[in-house]
Amino acid sequence: MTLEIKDLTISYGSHTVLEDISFSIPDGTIIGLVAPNGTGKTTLFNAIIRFIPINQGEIRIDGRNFRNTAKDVRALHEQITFFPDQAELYENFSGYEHIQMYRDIWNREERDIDGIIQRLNMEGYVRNKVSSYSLGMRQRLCFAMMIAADTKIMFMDEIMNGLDPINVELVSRILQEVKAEGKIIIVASHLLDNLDDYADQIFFLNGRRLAYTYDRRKETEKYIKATVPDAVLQAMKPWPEGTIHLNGSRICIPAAELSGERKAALLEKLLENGAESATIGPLGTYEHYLRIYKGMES
Amino acid sequence: MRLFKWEVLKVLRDWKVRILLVALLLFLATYSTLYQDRTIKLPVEEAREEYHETQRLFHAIPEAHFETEAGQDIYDRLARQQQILGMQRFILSEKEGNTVEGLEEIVSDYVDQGIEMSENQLHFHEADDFESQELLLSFIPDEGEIENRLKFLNYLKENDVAIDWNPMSPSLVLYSLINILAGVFIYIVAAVFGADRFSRDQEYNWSITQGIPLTWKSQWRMRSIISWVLIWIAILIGLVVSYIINRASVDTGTLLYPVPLYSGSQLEYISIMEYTVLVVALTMAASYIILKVSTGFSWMFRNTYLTITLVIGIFFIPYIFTIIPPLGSWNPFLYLQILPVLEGEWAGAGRVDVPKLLISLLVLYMLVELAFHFIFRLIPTRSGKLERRRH
Repeated sequence: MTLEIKDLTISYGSHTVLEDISFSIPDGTIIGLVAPNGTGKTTLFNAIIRFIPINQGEIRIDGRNFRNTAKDVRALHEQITFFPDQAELYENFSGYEHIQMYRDIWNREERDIDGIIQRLNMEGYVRNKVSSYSLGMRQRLCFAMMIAADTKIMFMDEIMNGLDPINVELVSRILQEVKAEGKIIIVASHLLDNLDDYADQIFFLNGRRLAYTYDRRKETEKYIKATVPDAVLQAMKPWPEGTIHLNGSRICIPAAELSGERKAALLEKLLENGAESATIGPLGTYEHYLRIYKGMES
Repeated sequence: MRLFKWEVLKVLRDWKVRILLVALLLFLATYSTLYQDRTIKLPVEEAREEYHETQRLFHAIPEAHFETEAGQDIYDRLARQQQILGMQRFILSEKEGNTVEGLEEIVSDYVDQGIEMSENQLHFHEADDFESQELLLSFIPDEGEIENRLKFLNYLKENDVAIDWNPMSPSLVLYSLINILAGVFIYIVAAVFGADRFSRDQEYNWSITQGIPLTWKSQWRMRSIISWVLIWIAILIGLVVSYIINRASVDTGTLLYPVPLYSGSQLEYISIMEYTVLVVALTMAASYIILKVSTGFSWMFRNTYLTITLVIGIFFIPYIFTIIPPLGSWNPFLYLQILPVLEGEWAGAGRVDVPKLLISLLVLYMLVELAFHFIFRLIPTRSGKLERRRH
């Protein structure tokens, strides 16, 4: 299965929110969708699932074009689920009932609800009414509903909101397990480092367009990365050729050409000059985010 | 069906629905009790009044007018009317039925006497050679009314049904309740039930219900039918309970008692049981259409007050045809109200009867289906709810 979006354009009146968005996602892929607030992440989800009319473009799954007809939209909704808003759960239903409801609606009788509940550590509260749940409990319930619906494509908008670090780790792990079943998952999140834990590709939206995409599996070039006060960075000049200076205080020094001694020396120097941590690794989502939205000096 | 169970649960867990269902049930179930608190006029009192009226008639007609052959005949018949009314007063006051046990030979049978009285009254209408005929006729009903009275009495005779001395007997209370139900009452109930069937989800549970693999039209049909079933469960239980409560305290009357029904050209008499089945069935059919409209409006407007107002407004559409001509008896909007059709109020528009009412309801159903087919296709409802993340 492939989710293919072609030349998607969304406008509200004369205001264009998204323009000529195109991409293709193969089976068994997690996409991290990254953009500052108000850039159009949720609009992109709404458009693909046809909650809003689109001005131009095509939504194709396995080559089939899903048009804006009742029949096509219904068929599209068989294939895609959208992460529910935790504030819109039925307060007088239990979590268990919500999960059952999503399983029934998507006709997944074979889906083991108790197994889902166990995987998400929800046994302690899932049979209580939703009105008694905390934000994190609700968020896990919404995630469990998506798993119960078991559609081929899942849109996870702000999925980690309100989750503690343990549950963020738990949900990240389950996302990878679900991906292994061949699902296509798009996660919109502001937890950029967390995206690096499970996303295969990251899409950055900027200026109405898909500004940059990168495949984390292909990103192999190593950098020494640290965040140090800007004044210190200036004082430590000159930096090796190819050094990237992001958002005033983030520095990424290419490590490929450096000897082991030189790398160790640079790491020590950064830590001595105020860096809380200095690491070696490929550029991550955080660095790309700063580069795209905050600008870059070389 | 995969969503049906959850839609039912959603409705049943809604406190507004629970309260409305209980209120509906209580209103109908206690109607007989409330009804009996009202001041009513007993048939025996009516007979007494008619008796005195006949007496006054004797005094009003100049004695000389009774001297002719025709006058003598009228005199005899009026005297007989007076005698019958006296006996009927007695029969009704004894509350035993059409006769009084042991006195059958003396006071005779209420129905036979009634038939005789009606025939006498018809004779008065034909007595053109009687000098005071105009005065005489001013005291008695017109021919149409007398014909209907005759039909009523013949029904009693043919079906061996006793005259009901008690207008608050369970069957007559049921008749009255059915007529209330079939009026604006069912519109109000349907409007209130349907008014937030979609808007509530749209306001509070949008992201849970949006994007499910069922068309809006299917959900609309499903939600309408759930409301319809719940309403009718409450109504039917309420009607039965009301009848049982009344039956427990009053033992007069029968469900075979005749009530009028307009058959397109004239009045006919059918039993209260037949009338109840007919009107309940027609009201059920009409209420399904009204519920579909109110549920559909709740998807369109998301404003319960507007939806309720519009749906109740539909009830008043037939009144337009009291101002402008309805353009024939096939105008389906004439049939938006059931009772005027059954009572023959639209007789001026042509043959307005139950078969046409059924066909019109079918036409109205198809119109509603067609309208909402386009509404669900054409209105970009999703644009109003772009901000999915409100919290």
